Amino acid sequence: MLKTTSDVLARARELAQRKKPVVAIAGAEDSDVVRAVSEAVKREFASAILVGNAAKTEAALRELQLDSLKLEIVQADGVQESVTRAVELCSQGRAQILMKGKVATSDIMRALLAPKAGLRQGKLLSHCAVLEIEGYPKLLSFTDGGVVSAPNFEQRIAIVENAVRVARLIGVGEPKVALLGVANQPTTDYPSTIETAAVARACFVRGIVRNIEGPLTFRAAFAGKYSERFSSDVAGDPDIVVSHTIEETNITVKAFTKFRRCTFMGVITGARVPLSLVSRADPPENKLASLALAAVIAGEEQ
Amino acid sequence: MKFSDVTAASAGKKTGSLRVCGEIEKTALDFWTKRGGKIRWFKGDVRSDLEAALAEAKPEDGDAVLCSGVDDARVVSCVPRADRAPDVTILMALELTAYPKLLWIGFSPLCDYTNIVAASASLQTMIASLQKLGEAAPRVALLSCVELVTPGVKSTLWQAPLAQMSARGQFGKACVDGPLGLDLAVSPEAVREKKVKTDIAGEADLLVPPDFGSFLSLTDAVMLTGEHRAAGVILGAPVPIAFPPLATPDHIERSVELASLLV
Repeated sequence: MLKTTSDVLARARELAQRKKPVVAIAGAEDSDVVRAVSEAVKREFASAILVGNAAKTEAALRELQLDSLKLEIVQADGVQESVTRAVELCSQGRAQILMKGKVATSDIMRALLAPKAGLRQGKLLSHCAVLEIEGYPKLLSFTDGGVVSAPNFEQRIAIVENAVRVARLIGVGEPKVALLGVANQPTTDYPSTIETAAVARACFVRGIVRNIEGPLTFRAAFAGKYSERFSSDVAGDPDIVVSHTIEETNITVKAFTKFRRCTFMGVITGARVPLSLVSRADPPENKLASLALAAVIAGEEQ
Repeated sequence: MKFSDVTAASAGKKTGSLRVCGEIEKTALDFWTKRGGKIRWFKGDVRSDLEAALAEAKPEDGDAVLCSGVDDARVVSCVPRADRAPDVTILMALELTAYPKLLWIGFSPLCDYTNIVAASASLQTMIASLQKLGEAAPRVALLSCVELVTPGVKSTLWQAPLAQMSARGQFGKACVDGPLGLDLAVSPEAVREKKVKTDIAGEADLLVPPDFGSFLSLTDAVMLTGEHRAAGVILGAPVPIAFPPLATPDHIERSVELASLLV
């Protein structure tokens, strides 16, 4: 079981000795992304194909004194061509990881979801943020804070399924899943708590995950205060936290990254290849860690 | 503003009877008795306890009402409303090592924010409270997961008109902007990096999450994981109710001070 970002980086390198994954970066003119990818290449857990404006990408590499790495560059004019070419590399099997560079999330998602790309597996795509939080004894995943804006019942189950798959790929055999709610019991005062309870039950009955509980307030799920009042394997010890809204996940994850010492790894799962997606404002170590997580997912799924 | 300012401002207030609802350790109230105040316990049903406590309390005599150890969702549904008061509003204040001033988080759980009249009334309640405490021109960030108005993300649809109202001066000196990600609300570096134009500029005084779940998770994520001091108050009842985020002596004392200043 991988418990820290260092574990993820080490596992990515271990898996790369079997087969090194190739990352296709759409919009590689972004110097932060180039730096992260170059670091991944130096650490020998991935190789890379940089897709974008070749002159600008070469300039970024020179500026960062990384031109000696001799990374493959694919010329693409504009955002559309960048995302299309990068996705094509994944469709052709030349790349096993897709990474967002200087392109909009919506553009790369559109290209990834295009039927002709052939990367959809009929599954829902969702974002999983895996955090190493100071004081928490293991990696903690939050979902979905970036893709599915208003999930229906089945989509909520699919979001859980995606997060459980990621957790298992990082070595959590039986992940504990907390579905957040505004109260710790289903109540008609807050209808979302009733849906949450139904999602928890459906995930259990369908065999997606054994340890799942909800609704739980964040306090009960994370601090385990509530576990003093009733028996729960999940409260106080979750591996995965699933919020009821995309905003809640997004805001909560940002609260950790801003106010707490924490490393963030973000990935979109559900397609044939993982999409490494980080924010422009993320520090380089988060971008590198995100890439390592994607490499572990790609390596373990092969 | 820091908690030391709140404490200083409440120092001259009378100390009357503290009416306590919920589960609280007796010793956590020592600060009140040391000031010469009395404690009156209510140990029944939360709803009837709050009703009785609020009916008895006379703020002009230094009385205060405290509620703790009860889930937020339960308390909100039990608070009796004052005449013509806007929706019940929870206002939390956090003093964090990673932020240079008090960070306020507010939300009206029963408010339909898609109703612009109700939403602006909720904001006005929070803004007026901060102004009463000395923050003349609070910066209010309406939180979401994106910075653009996005039809799929419903909160952005009610947040944008409120920001527009602010731009036209409808919230007085307060600056309201949204939708904004949390990073843009509290990090000037993120604002520079993402090149988003916002008058909040990463220096928000007040965060307004888009839903009750986000409010609870945000306050707890900030509180439960780091060094902090915090206080909370419920507005919209006949008397502000001290509502400490955690039942610790420091949270309780700060919350009672805060409530006494918002009468």
